[in-house]
Amino acid sequence: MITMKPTIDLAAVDRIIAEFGTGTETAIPVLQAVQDHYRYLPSEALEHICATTDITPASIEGIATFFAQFRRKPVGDHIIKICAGTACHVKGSPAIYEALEKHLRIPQGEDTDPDGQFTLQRVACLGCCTLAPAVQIDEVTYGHLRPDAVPRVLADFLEHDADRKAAPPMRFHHPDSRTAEVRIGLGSCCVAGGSEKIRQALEETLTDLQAKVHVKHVSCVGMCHRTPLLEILLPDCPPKLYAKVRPEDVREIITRHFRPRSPFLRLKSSAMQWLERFYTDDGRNAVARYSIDTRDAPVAAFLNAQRRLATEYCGEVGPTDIDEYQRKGGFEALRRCLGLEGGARLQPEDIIDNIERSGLRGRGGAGFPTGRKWGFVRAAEGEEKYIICNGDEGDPGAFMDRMILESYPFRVIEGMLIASLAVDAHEGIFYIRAEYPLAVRRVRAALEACTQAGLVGDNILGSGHDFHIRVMEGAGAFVCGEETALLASLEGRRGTPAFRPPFPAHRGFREKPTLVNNTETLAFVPWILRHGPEAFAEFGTEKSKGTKVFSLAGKTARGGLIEVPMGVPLRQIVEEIGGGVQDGRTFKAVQVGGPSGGCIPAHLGDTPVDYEALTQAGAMMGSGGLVVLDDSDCMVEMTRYFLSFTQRESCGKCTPCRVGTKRMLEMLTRLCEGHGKAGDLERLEHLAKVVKEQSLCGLGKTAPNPVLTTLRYYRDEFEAHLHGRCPSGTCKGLIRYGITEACIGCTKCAQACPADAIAMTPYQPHTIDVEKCTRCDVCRQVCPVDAVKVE
Amino acid sequence: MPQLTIDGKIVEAASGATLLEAAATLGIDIPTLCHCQGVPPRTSCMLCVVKDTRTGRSLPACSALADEGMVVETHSEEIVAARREVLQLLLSEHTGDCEAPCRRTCPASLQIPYMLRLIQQGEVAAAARIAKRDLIIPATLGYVCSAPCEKGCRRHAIDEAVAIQEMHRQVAEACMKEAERSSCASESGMHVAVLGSGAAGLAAAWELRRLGHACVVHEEGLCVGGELWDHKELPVWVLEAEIESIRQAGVIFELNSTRTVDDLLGGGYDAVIIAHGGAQTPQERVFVAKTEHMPVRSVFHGKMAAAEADAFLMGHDNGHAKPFDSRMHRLHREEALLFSENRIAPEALARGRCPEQQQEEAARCLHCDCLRPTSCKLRRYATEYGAKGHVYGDAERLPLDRVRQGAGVLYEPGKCVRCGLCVEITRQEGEPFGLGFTGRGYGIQVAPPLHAGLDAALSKTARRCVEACPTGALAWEGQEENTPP
Repeated sequence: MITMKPTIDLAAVDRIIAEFGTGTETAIPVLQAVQDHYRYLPSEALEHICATTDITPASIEGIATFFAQFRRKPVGDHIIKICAGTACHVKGSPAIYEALEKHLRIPQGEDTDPDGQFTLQRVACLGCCTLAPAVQIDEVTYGHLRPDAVPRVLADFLEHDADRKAAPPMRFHHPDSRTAEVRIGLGSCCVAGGSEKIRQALEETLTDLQAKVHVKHVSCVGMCHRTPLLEILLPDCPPKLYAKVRPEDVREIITRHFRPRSPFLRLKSSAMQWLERFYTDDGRNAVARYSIDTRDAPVAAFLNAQRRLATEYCGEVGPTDIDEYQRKGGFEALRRCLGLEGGARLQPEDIIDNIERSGLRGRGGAGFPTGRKWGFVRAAEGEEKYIICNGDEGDPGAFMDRMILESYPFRVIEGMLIASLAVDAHEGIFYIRAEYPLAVRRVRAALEACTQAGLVGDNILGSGHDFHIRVMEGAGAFVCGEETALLASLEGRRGTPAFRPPFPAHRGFREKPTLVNNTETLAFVPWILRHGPEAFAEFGTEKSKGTKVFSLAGKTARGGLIEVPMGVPLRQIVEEIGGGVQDGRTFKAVQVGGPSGGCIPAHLGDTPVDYEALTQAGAMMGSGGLVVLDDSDCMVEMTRYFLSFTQRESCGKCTPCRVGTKRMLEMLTRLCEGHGKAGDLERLEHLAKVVKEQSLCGLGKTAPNPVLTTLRYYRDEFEAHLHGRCPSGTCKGLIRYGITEACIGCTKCAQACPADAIAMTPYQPHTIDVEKCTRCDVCRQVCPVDAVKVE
Repeated sequence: MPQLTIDGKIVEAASGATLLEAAATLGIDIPTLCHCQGVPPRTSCMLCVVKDTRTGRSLPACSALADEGMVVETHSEEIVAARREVLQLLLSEHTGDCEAPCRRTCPASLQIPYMLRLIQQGEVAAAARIAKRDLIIPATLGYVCSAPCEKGCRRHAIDEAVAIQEMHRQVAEACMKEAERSSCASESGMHVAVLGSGAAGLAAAWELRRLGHACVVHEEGLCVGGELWDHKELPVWVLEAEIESIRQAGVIFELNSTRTVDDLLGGGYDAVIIAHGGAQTPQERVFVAKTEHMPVRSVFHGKMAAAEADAFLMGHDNGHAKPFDSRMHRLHREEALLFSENRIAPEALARGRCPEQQQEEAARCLHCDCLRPTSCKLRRYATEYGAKGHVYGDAERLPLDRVRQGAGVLYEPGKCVRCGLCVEITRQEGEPFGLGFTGRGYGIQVAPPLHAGLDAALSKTARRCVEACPTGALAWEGQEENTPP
């Protein structure tokens, strides 16, 4: 049983209120803090908040039930977050969820096991698409899972839980002038890939060897498919990059490059290694197997076809090292705007003109010209103006904003500072998804450094300009990426969008003119002012200028964060950067723009990355998720998946989106289960058009895009489903598993089957009990001779 | 002062006026559910959609401001279709019946729940007037009808259907004399002949008289009543008395008549209704009332044919389009029991029917009809825009729920369209609890927060909230919107 606290000590609530204040705007931060303390929102705490602040019961209940982050029921000791992002979905996360539910014996309709040990939570995206399918238990991420691995994962977690609690904090070495450097990626993907353990192993090794090496904590390298990464830099040597490093490999890698200082240590080190290898029977050469070199052909294609503007100095700079940022040209653009770089101080109009000439368009999805938006806010009447950095990225399968905020917080801060000069604002807010704790920490640390350096706050660099920046954590609502919904939640209300006009540029946060820009958009601003708008406009197409950051995931050989010039054909991204699809499958489509976008089929692979071209093809730039699909992916099921996301994330305000997405999802689910009816496709298409045309905000207006594009390009697959057939063999209701004569009777499938649908018959061909089979696909994955077939 | 064009008319709108307000100055009524004077627009129902033909954008008229040079269409075919779609989506998540299933299944649409409520209150004469108005021969049908209404009765889910047929027979027989004095509209000067005097003919004749037309019934046979006489269980005096009440209303019966349609049309009649079941080729001024094996269906056809003839004679549209009917389909026993809460004692729930005790039997009715059948804007617009309630046939039905407390407000979440008017009103008036939204997406609901009750939520705003509610989601229990004939 879940143990309920008999009485709630409300002193913590009082402390929280004293910290945040009693205004209505504080509702979300207060609830977040309360939940941090109690691990859920007890009713007594909510009542106490209403009694002691201006927040009303209706408002607090509304917020507490609107945002996915808030829980009204106690949770288990550990939270298992199952990623429902696109990449994880195509690699089988639903089966993982089912396996967890089954293994933990979680009662129907509940999310916590009867012992109160684990609580399951489906999350939109963990942001480690390259480890798909992935789950995160508390702070530990497990990737590349299979349903049959669930018991082992839980056992491993519980076994190491105690160790983790006892682990000492990491000690950092400080750099000397010309020492060697070991760079370790500590972006979320790398951490998820196990870089934390690598860091510990590295620390131990270096201490043992007493090597004088600077261990540097670097931003995302963008090669998330190879995490964790370790890079060794020695003076006068080309950098050496090791990928997919395992903790046990660290010592070998390090000793290859750094010789222990004393002969005794040298001897001890090699003896230890020899002994270790002897006793652990781990004789393979870790270095040979795991080293990759950036000059290897495929990796060069991965890194060299890219142009890094927003992600400049990718993998080279420390995310919160303000001195390094400044050494590499950071804040130069700001100084230039303030006239501190020799030239005259730029007038706001000049800054806006620069941005306008660069052709920069909003990277959040809709592609509104950034300079024009700035112009509107500049022209809007009012003394008080605000700038919001929209980092509420919620798109499953996209994590550009997370990576930018984690890796280049100064760049975004600088972009915001420049914008504040252009529109004459004095307060800025970072609105960051709460699911991105690392990004929040990094931005806070960077802001602290900027404040100390006189770059943020009153009288910035003696210019007379004041600009204060704070961080607000989103609470888990995809719709809050929509600017009016974002503003509502900033003001302490449910995140529901409002009709525009009035646009936030005229009436936004606290009814004042507000500039809302996407994180990536702001990250481009310093580059543009440093290199000039023309240099930026040299990249890209006629209407889409510059570069765009994408997260590439799905069925490609390589995945991760990439930044490419606009205008690059999708096929080039898939084949050259992504290395084509895996396992000898064929490239079927690329899903662009997440749940608001659409699937562009392989035969339209020449479609360039360009706002208009993508829209014309039925997709949209969206926030920049690229998920590559191969011939084993069912387009009907993919459509159902995307719609189930938007349906779940609909705020419920306007009729077309609230009810329309639900009805579309019901029809798609019917199709996937083989219960489609004549006329369903026409009804679906008709309803999709209604929802697209009549919804209030961008979420509803774009939610039907996946439906409309797949109906346009893959109608035959829909028709096949109507006739009870799933051509790619994905939809569980339409397929059967069987075992062919190739079976050698090894019983692996029988052991792995979670539903006991395969009898244990050693040395005899196995058979599957179709009634018991849950079509979890485990048997097919474990069969050593490919004897399991799907009909 | 922006100048714009709405439906081809140029209008100068007050600055800051919405399209809804600008259209209103031209007398153009744009439908809306979530908009209400004194409450800022929430832009949620999306029924007020109009089109700005310059940009091709669909705009919600309640929030979009009138802008210089706009060219707006408010009732084009496209917009009407768009509104119908919105209504159909709202109706697909609507858990509630407009009319009780008994009335819905009655071919003649007898207003059963209201009739039963009147009987329960001892208003037998008023109940009889309803039976007469809807069934025309209610006492006769009390013997010969197969009572489909009772098959639809929701009380079935608990014990046994209410004895509806027995009820309308009893009140009709008790008030036979009174029925003769039923009033008719003033004379129209039109003459209509009805061929056949069975259930369809009698119904048509009575309806025509009520509408003020002179009416002669031509019957081939030797007595009025046609096939009704075949029902052996029907006491002779009952049918005779009901025929007499029709005669008293001014209908003339010509027996042994051999006149054909052409004779009648040539003989000074303005229209002819054929109600003898014979085949008929379509012809101007001639209307057919089908006769069926089930007498109550024949009554329905008779009423319909009379309405058509009346529309033709008076030169108006046969505009009595059937009002939209939302349907809940089958209920679980637990759901059906929600209707009995507060009203029917638990020990009375399993007792079964007791038609001898009229008032008690009438009190067995669950009153599952909507409390706001006429003031509901959703129903009104669904009727007006021809919306259908079952477009998404397999849609998941939300469970039935009824929230009530002492103050007399009944809240049915299944009928809520999430317009938020009550939420905003309780906020404006500073209710300590008020109503709020909970959840999001398809699961969004309006509810009192933090486990507060309905009375606490609406401590001072109940009247305003019920009035503002565009549907039957908030209503006064015991309030009757139906009016006695």
